[in-house]
Amino acid sequence: MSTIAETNTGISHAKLGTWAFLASEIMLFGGLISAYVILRSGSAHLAVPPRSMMGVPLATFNTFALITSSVTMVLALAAIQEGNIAKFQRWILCTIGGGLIFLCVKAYEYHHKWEEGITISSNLFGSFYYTLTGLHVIHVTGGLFLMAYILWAGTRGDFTPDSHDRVECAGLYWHFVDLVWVILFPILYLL
Amino acid sequence: MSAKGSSHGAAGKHAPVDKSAEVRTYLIIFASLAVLTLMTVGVAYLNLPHAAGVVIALVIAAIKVFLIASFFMHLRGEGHLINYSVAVCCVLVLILIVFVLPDIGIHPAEEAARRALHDLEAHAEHMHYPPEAADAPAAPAAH
Repeated sequence: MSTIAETNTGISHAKLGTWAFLASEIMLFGGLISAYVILRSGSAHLAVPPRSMMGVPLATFNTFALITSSVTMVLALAAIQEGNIAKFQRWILCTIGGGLIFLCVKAYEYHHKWEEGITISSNLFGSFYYTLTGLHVIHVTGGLFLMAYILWAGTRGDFTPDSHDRVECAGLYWHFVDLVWVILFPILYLL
Repeated sequence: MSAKGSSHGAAGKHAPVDKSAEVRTYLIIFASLAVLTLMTVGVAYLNLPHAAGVVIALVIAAIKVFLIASFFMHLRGEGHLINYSVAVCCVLVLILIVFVLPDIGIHPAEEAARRALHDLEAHAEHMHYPPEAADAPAAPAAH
């Protein structure tokens, strides 16, 4: 593994690469969110369903599931920095649990909304709702595979207090997924 | 490059350290995020004027994003390279929104008409207009 002393920037290659990837993700979600905000502000064709149809309590619960999984991820990082592998495994499992709860609730929500008539082709709002949340769901799913890999690698003994780049980078990705939801939740469900 | 970049670097050579102070900080941030989430939902149900509701919700979301990025993603401890890269991305996204908004705000009469139409459409959706209403033949075009 490369050490910080070996890089010109003083930042490990893995972390720099992860941040470059996250920068592209900011532009990806930023482009879609800005398109939604502009159309929401300026288009007469973007009819927003009543809040009662949006399932705010479920979405609030999902927000808690994601921020809880975010804190368990950062606790897993602290555990591996302390060299406590058992605690690390426990927190990663909690993170995976939070992500799974989010996906299950989302699946229920999609089914419910589809039956209510909010589909991807029902109107402009439906298109944006499923595109934005669908892209986010794909990211959560990818994050869960990443967490499963991190758990497996940690169990195999790949990580030590001195060498845990992959845990930190996986954490950065997972927190970004949480951060995106923190923005999507109010603009899609509450405003 | 700032030495800060290595403060959370996984490759830094150091012995296992006591992380209890950091863990306490993470839990405080988690509690703050939970409270802010409840506040966002609570404010949405207060039936404030639309503009005030939007501003409050976005301010709360911005605070939550700041807390997650600063503490969970450790941006607070990173060097200039990463912080500036993220800042550039945020500015570019803001450009996507802000540069178009003036075009929306400069036609007040059209805006009022648009709002009225928007309310009608929302009402129609809520009421689930019967299919025959949607299928009704359009008025013949004037020749």
